[in-house]
Formats: sequence, C-alpha cells, structure tokens
Amino acid sequence: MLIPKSFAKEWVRSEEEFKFLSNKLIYSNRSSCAKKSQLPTKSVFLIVDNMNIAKAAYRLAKIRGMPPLHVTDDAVRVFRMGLTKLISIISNRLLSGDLSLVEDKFLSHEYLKNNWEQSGSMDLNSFTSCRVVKKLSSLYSHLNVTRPDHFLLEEMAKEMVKLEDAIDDCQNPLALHSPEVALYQFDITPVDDDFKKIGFQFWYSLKVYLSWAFRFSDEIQVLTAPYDFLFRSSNLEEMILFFSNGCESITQIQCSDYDLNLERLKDYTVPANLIDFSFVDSLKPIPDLPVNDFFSKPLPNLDDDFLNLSRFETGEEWLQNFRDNYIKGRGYQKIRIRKAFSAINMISLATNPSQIETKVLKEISENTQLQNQEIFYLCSEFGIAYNDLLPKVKNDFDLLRMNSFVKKTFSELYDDELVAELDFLSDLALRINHICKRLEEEGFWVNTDSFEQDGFSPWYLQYVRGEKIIPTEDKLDIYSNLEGDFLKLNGTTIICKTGTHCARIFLNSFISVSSLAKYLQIISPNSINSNNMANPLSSHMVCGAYDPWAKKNKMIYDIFHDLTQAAVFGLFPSPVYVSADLIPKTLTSFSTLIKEGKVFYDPRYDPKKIKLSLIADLGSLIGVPCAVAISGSKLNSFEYYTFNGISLSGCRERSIITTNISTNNDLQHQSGYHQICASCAINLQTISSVVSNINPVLRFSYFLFKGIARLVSHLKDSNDLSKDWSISPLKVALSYRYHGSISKTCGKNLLKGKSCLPKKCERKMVEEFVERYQVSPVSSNFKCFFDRGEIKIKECDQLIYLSQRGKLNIKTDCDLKERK
Amino acid sequence: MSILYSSFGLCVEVDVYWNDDFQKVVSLSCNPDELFCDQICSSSNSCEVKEGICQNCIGTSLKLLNFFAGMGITYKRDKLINLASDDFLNFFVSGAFISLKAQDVYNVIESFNSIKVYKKFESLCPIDSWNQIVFYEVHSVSRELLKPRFVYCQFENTSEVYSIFKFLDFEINDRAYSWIL
Repeated sequence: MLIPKSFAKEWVRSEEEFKFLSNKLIYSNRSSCAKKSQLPTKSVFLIVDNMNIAKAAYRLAKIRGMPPLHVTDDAVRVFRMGLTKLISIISNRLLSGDLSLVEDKFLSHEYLKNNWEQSGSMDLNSFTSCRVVKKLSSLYSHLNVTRPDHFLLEEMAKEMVKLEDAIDDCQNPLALHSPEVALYQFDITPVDDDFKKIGFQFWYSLKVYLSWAFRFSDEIQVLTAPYDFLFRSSNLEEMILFFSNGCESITQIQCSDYDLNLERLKDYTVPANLIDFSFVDSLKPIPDLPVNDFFSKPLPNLDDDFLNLSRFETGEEWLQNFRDNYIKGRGYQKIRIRKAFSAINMISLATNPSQIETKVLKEISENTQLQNQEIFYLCSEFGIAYNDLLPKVKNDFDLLRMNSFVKKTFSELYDDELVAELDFLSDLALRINHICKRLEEEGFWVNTDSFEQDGFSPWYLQYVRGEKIIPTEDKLDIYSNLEGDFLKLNGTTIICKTGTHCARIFLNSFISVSSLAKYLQIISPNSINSNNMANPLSSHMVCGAYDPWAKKNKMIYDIFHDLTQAAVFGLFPSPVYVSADLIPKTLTSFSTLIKEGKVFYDPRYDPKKIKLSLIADLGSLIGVPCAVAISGSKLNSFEYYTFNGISLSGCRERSIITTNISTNNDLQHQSGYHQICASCAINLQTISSVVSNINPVLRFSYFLFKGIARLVSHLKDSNDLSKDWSISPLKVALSYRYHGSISKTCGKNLLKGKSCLPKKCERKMVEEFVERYQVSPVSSNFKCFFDRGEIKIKECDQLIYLSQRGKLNIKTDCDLKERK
Repeated sequence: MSILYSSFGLCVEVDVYWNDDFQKVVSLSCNPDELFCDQICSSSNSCEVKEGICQNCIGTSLKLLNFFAGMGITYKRDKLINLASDDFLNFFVSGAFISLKAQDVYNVIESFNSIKVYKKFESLCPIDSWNQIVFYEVHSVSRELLKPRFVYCQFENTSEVYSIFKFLDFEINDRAYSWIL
C-alpha cells in the first residue's frame, strides 16, 4: 500500500487530545435539535470577560509601584487558570457524589460551607476536561451545520492535524492570548446513566457552588495566590456566562421573560459593524414581549449561523465582539435604570402628586404657546400610558408591584420598596388624566396640528409612532423647552424645570424601570447566568411555539385515518377500532385516544390486555399510535426498517414506492416496494399478527397506499422529522490518515459512524487497536477471509499482528502503552 | 501616613495600603496614651487591621455606581466623630467594613488617576483635605456592601473622621425640604 503523507505525523499527539477527540460531534436537524433542548448537556462553553480583573490588577500594580503590564498579564493568567481549575474541581466533586447537588434557590452561606468542607476526598478523580477554544474550527461546525458533507469532514481532518491551532489546555500558562476575554469548553463524563435525570441539577449546583467557592473556599486561595484577595472581591457573576455546546441544554428554561431574554443574548454576536442597536429588543424604550419574536419571525434555520461564528476567524475575535456589544448594551441599560431609580426616588421624596398637579394647573393658566406645547406632550403621554385600550404599559406597572428583584434592588439603593412610588404614580396619573380630560372638554385641543411632535419621550415615539430609537444616553432625558427650577436638589442640580416636566420625568422613569425589570437580573446578576443560545429552538419549545412532534403527529394522524378507513373495508382483522370523529390536528396518541374513549376493542379480546400490550409495545413512543408494515414479498416477507417506532417492511418487486426512510443514524435508500405486496396494520405484535399478504385486494388497499405514500413524503422532509448524525472526530482523523482526503463515499461511511479503512475487518480491528493503545498507525494489510492482518505503527519498527476471534488478539514484541 | 487627632486631643495615625500578599490593610498608629489602638487590637501603639474581601467591588454593581455618582452630591459628610465613641469603635472592631480611596482597586468604573474621582472624594471632606478614605460598611459574612458610614479626612496638621449621610436638600417652588437618610 502506498503510504500517504498524512502518515508522517502522529495520529493523536496526547492523551488529552485523544480525550477531546473522543467526544462525538452530533449534528441535528431542527426537529431533533428542538427535542434535545429538553435534555441536559454534557458539554458547555464558558465565556470569561476579565476586563475588570485586568483593570484592578493594573491599579494594584500602580498603587504598589510594580510594573503594571506585567502584573496585569500575570493576574489575568492566574485568574483564568484558577477559575477553570475550580470549575473542574466542583464538577468532579459533584459527579463523583462527593459534593451534594443542590436544588433550592436560597441557600445559606453556612449550608454551602458545610457541604463544601465535607467534600474533597476524591479530588483525584477526573470526569471533566477543559479546553481553551482558540479557533472556531470545523470541530465546532455542529453549531451551524445540520448535516456535514465530506468537504467539511476533510476540513475537520486537516484541522485535527494541527489541533494546537484550534484548542489549548486550560492549565497551559501560555494560553493567554486576548487580555480581555477567553472562551473555554468543558466536557463532562458522567459516572452513571442517570445524568438525564440529574443533569440540570448538576449544572445549577455547579453555578451555585462556583459563586460560593470562588469567594470563600480554601481552594481558591491556593489556586489564585497571590491575587486571591483581589479576585474574591470581583463580581464574578458579571464576568462569566455559560452556554451549552450544541442542542442539549444547560438550563431547563421556562417560558419566562427572564429566561427568554437570557437566550436572546445571542443578538450581541452580530459583528459590531453590522449590529443595529435600535433593533436590539432589550435596548428599545419599550421592549417587545420576547415571545412575540417567535410569532413574528419564521422558525430559525439551524444552518443560518445564528451565532455568527463563521464571521470570525478565532474564538477570541468572536468573543471580543460579543463582549464589546454586550458591554455597550449593558452599560446603557445600567445608566438607564440608575437614572430612572434616582428620579423616582427624588421626585417622590421631594414632592407629591397634589403639588405637581397644582403646578401643572398654574402652567396651564399661563396659556403660552410654549406651555401648551408641553401640556400637549404631557397629556398625550399620560393618556397612552393609562389608556385602557392599550393596557400594556399600565399592566407593566402593576407587574412591578410583584417583581421582587426590582423591589430588592431599589430597596438596597434607597431603603424603600417601590410601593409608595407606584402609588404616587397612580395618583399622579389620575390627576393628570383628569386635567387633560377637562382640557379636552374645554376645547383646548381643537388645533393639535399646530403642536410639534418631536419632543415626545422616546418610549412614546417608539410605542405610538413606531419610530426607531437609537439607544444613546441623551435619549434618556425628557427635554423641556421651558425655563424654570421647579425642583432643585442641594441648591444646584435641577431635577425638574416645571410641574409638567416633573410629571413626564416620573412617568418616563417608571417606563424605564418596567422595561428593564425583565433584564435586571441579567444586567445586574446575583447568580451566574447560563443559557442555551446555541440552540435557538429551546425558547420556541418551552413556549409551545414549535412542536417537533407536530409533523410526526400529523403524519401519524393521516396514516391512522387511512388505516381506519381501510379497516372499515374489512381489510385486516384488528382488535382495535377507532371512532370516526377524530379531529384533525388534535393529539392522536394512543394513550390520549384510550383516555378519551375513542378506541374500542373487539369483544373477543380482553381490553385490559390490549391496553397493556399496547403500552408495552409503544413504550416511550406513546405519541405514535400505529406502525405501518409493508409485507408480502415472495423473497423476503419481513424486511423491517425502523423509524422511531414506525416499521416498514416490503417486498422487492416492481419499483413503485421509493422510500427514503431514516433511522437515527443515516438514511437508508430502498427501492423496489410493490404496492401489491403492501399491508398496513396497527402494530400490536403480541395480539394481532395482522401483517399479511393482502394481495390482490387492490381496490380495498387504496387507503393503505395513500397513507404509505403520504408517510413516505413526510419522511422525506429534512427539517421537521428528527435526524441526527453522529461524527467521531477520531474516525475522521483515522480515515484521513489512510487516504489523505475524505471522499464522498468515505463521508457517507463517517456519517454512519464508520471509518473508511480499506477493508471491513481492517476497519474494525485497527479502530479498536488504536483506541486501546497509544499508537499511530503507519500502514496496515489485512486478509479479511482469515480475519487477520498486520499493522505498522510509528512508535515501533516491527510489524504487529492482529486477529479477531470474538475479541481482538494482538501478537507483538513492541512495548504498547495502553490508553488511560 | 496621616495623623488623626481625636476630639480629646489625642492622636492616631491612619494608613491604608496593599501588603506584599496583595491584601488590603488599614494601619493605625496611636500615641502611647491613646486607648484607641488598645481597644482595637490590644496594642498600645499600633494596629494592622486586615480588611476582608469586598463582594462585587471589582465590577459595576448598581450600588457602587450609585455611590460614586452621588459622592458630594447626595452623599455628604455629617458629624465630626469622636473616635472613642462606641459607634466608630464597634464599627472598626467588627471588621465589617472596607475602605475606599480616590486611587483604588475597587473603582474600575472611572479611569485611574481621574481628577473627577479625586474631586468627588475631596467633596466629602472640608476644604484643604487630602488622602480621604471612605469606610463603607459591609455584611459581616457575605461581605456585601451595605452603606457608606465614615469618611477620613487628612489635613496638614490634623485629621478628622466624619460620619456620612445621604442628604437630599430639595427646593421646590422656593420652599426647602431636607431629607437625611
């Protein structure tokens, strides 16, 4: 065999690399990705923005007269290594059961301290691996590709040859590249199979313990010396964000504003030169409800690169851009909320609604053009905010009374719970609206055309006139052309120029608070944030805006309907009959039908037994009411292909139905089904062996064929029926090593989870051999008839003989090193 | 190093620095006949009080943003404090405080050496002071910021400590209202 150039290098350089490449990459289509969002992930990304750490270290060095740049670099490096090490320690303790998982939201310092101090005896175990993501290489293509082709796989193989350009070890002290941001990947290997049950609790616990241990554990003091004091004083929650790597989730989100807004942080991944902040919902004067997004936009396409990964060369560039956008947005939001809180606090302390009303009435009585213009703004704004026909704004104010986070934040700043202030606003609104109504009755507004329209508050311009508002700091102030100093603070600062101005500022401030209430926990977090932004469908799923089963249910409904039609014609004996009043598009699972009494049983059978066998038969696929079988082949009467509980069997004669039925692994192309051999049955294998050759009852078969044809066409849909492709990077690397490229056929093999070594037995034995030992194959030669062959490896000059008799036998004088 | 005279004519020297272990330390030196050091650390002439951590002080929490924005405007000095008073002594002994200076690690919001920040600290003290130090109360366990409590002001020949209060002096329609919080 001609040895390709690719053999010149080692297959996998280190055990750490091997561990990293052992993680399969799962490519999922929309439906599958949506379903997976309900499962806990085993791989997450960690975004670290250590700008404030760098600033603090710089200041510390300056104060102590040390070289600031050196100290800053050193501190950032220690911070990152300490943080990632601490995450690994916590993960290992949680996964080994050494540290107990937590569930409650409010856990005391003592409780966490106690749990932590009782753990640590099993720290040598490692269930975690951590990588610095340097390049958003094809090894991350599952984030923006649903089905990899051989070009992509070849690119992946090439990148694996130079893996050091793509990833780095988290504990490599030289891994510091950008001083501001770092992107990490954590993969965990759960000990038992229960991870599906405890996964979300695991990630939640990790975040809770991380917040605590980062400040109070002995470990952090050791890991981050001598900077530990500095780091422990930092606002960790503000600096980091976890998000899941792929379709599965880190957080079991709810259809709540908080969770949905967290998911929408992905809006900040748009390149800075393309992002339009006026379209970023959280920065609008009055943000839309996040769920509105689902209904106003088409379903996201997973191939659309919604995280904008392909627009950046490196992970750091992507993250730097995200950070810059996010900091800009968050900074604006913080200024907005602080100004609003401050204005509410001061106006409500200094004055009262009656005083403002008196002042407004006085201003009206002056009846100048300028005054009237301000009154026009005042009445328009209060009129809209408290208009029963547009209840959103007023409702938002009512909701504020129940928002404990807003109340807590306000109370920490002003020792007040924001209740009296809300009462103040309601009272003021009543008075202002009363004044405005009287003015209307008096004909004050006869000629509104003479009033200017540009001086409205930004929220009014957006909400009422649909104007695009660019979020800048100057847009936060309510301008008044009038002169005056109605409310002055400490002799110098004018809070409101006039009564009208004061009322408008007060209303505008509350609109800011109610708008930002949904974001406050994100911009000013008291716990570590995490989201599933790599899966845009997770939000759709929890809010019921996308049902990945809908297509299948519809399909099943159709086939079920056709089936019962066929049953009416007495095509096959079935112990189960279905009532004819099924309503299309309703849930048609068997369990529902049974519960609703729409399934009837042949009196000859015991309904209890049928029900039991039905449930046993369908198991977790309870949403699948029936199975379809095509049978009757003279050549092969039971050739089954499984697709999520639906089985098809067929006969090979004239080609009438070309199926493109998918299993979870790959497509299986089959042609040659002959309608005359087809049959369809409710799949109650235990009680009804109804798969029978119905040939030649053609006229009665109509409904069956219609159903099958429809089923086939539905199954061809690439987006709405679950499909996954699992790629093993190790096998991609091995295949590339043998051929120096990835051909189209090889790509198909890799999609099916197989490597592309020349012979089948060679593939099996070499794969097992290289995964068991730390070796790099250089050449191999196999005789599959005898199930044996020889392999040459880079690490040893002699040939190694492999054979397979049940298990892999190895005959060699080489000193082979087993993998850990 | 600065000298702090108590209202009884005794003197205490105060300094805040970051030691070799990068920990923040408040150092006090007392005259032999001054009981303050003795009360703080049972030493007759000097004390080194290590500050605990300051939760979320390296960051942009709303509380810090609010304090820095309101220094000298809504946060002002109030009464001159007698060091021997229980208020200050208990506060100091509890350790539930952090110190803030114009040039501080805990201010990552404004630029280092910002004149604006110096002016804000100056505004908390009487004219001609320097090296102002704010003592901010924190929670004894979580070390979260609670309230700015005292400000230390240094002068050429003397030093003073004032309590800090939040003042809102409003004038509305020419009538004045004062709120002390």
